[in-house]
Amino acid sequence: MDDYVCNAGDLVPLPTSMQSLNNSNDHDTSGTASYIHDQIGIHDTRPPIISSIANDAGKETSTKNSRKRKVENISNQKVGCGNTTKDGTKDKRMKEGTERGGATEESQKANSKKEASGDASKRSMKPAKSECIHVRARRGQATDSHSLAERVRRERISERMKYLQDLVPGCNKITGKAGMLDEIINYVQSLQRQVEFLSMKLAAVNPRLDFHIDNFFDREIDLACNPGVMPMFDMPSKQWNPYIQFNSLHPTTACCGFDVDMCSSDRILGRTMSMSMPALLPDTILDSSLNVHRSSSYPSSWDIAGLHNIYGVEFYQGRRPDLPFQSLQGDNFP
Amino acid sequence: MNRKNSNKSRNPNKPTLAFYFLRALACINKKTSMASYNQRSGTIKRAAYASMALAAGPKRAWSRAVLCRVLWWGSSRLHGFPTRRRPRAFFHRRVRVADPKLREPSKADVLRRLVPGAKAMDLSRLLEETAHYIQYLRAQVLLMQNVVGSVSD
Repeated sequence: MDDYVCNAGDLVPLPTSMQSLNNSNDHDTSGTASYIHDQIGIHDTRPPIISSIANDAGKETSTKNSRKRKVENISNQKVGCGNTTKDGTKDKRMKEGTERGGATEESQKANSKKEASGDASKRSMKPAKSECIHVRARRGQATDSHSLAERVRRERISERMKYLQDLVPGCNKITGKAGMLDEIINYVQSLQRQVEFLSMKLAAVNPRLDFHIDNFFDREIDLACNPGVMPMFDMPSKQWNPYIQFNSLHPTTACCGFDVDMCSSDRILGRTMSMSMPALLPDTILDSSLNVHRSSSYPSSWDIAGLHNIYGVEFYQGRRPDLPFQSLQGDNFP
Repeated sequence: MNRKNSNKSRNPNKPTLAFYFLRALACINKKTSMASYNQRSGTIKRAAYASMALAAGPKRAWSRAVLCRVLWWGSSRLHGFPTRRRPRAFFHRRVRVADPKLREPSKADVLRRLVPGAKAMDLSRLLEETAHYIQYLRAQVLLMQNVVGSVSD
């Protein structure tokens, strides 16, 4: 059930001509949003703003339906929501364009109450133009833009709840948002408590870790630098057995592709988040105390070599006085 | 049409996670031999979260928030700044709610407090971040259990 996240590579930014059609939209944010979608693949969580346009004819399936249909534009704030086209004339259909270069998003407001049933059955299931997100109101339901957007939002939320239901164990019988949220909250809290408990345990046994770690790091760094080489770990500790099988998958992407991602997302972060985080990030700390080479402040936080030193200093310093010392249970959460 | 499967970006990359965490443990080993037990356990906990955030990458709001919090904490300790004030203002996109103090915290608000960096998100985005966060938390817990298990034998 991992298929509700859109692959980032599929998205292209809206052409500027389309933005001119969006009357009531904020051009800057839509451009930015599409660019975000371009690079990161984050879903924009704003509901689609449906604005009406007088005549924007001939987009799709406009022939069969009868009077009182307006062709509207949805601003491209929702991408990646491709529900399957259901059959039947009454269902809502949302398609995601494969070529999003000319992304015309429209919603056809089907005046379903006034449609004769016969006419409704003839409503063509012609595949929509690939660029469009097509929302059709269901029969017998309100068709104004607000309820459409609201319905879209609700469906999205329920989709994600279903995904979370698979993640959180023991949630199969629980229906309803409230119960599910309770379970999710409990699960997250228990996982966080487990992390804390295990870190206490590790602190107790920490001095005995020395003899394995150095060997392992040399190998791991070799692995990062020579992606083609796959040394087998002959470490006696058995913690690697579950993970060795993963090594064959992406030895390079574990480290090298990772840095590539950093660069592009760094630009976006600098632009879209527009926060003082690069300044916040401890430039002075890195320079003065750690002697870490950094190109720019933000990527260095994800730079592998740089973090080694950050860890060294900062973890040495740290203590978190406001965290209560909890007594925890150690049973595994299944 | 279904959405494309982005499984690779969802499932935590366990070798990366393990690498970061063990490296942090090694650093902690070397440098905190004199620190108290409480200090060390807090440090290890922060190392666990930081390695989790590193493995998750910057594409997630929670990983950015966690890493910034950890780095900020380290920097403030280094410079002797008071560490009470959290850097939330840097990330906090203010969501204007009518009478926020009078509003009883809903379950979504509780979840927002739990998941780092999710303070100003609407529900669908919050659920997505929670799912990702849970995956990485679970992987981290498994990793730590394995480490503890192997060391204590």
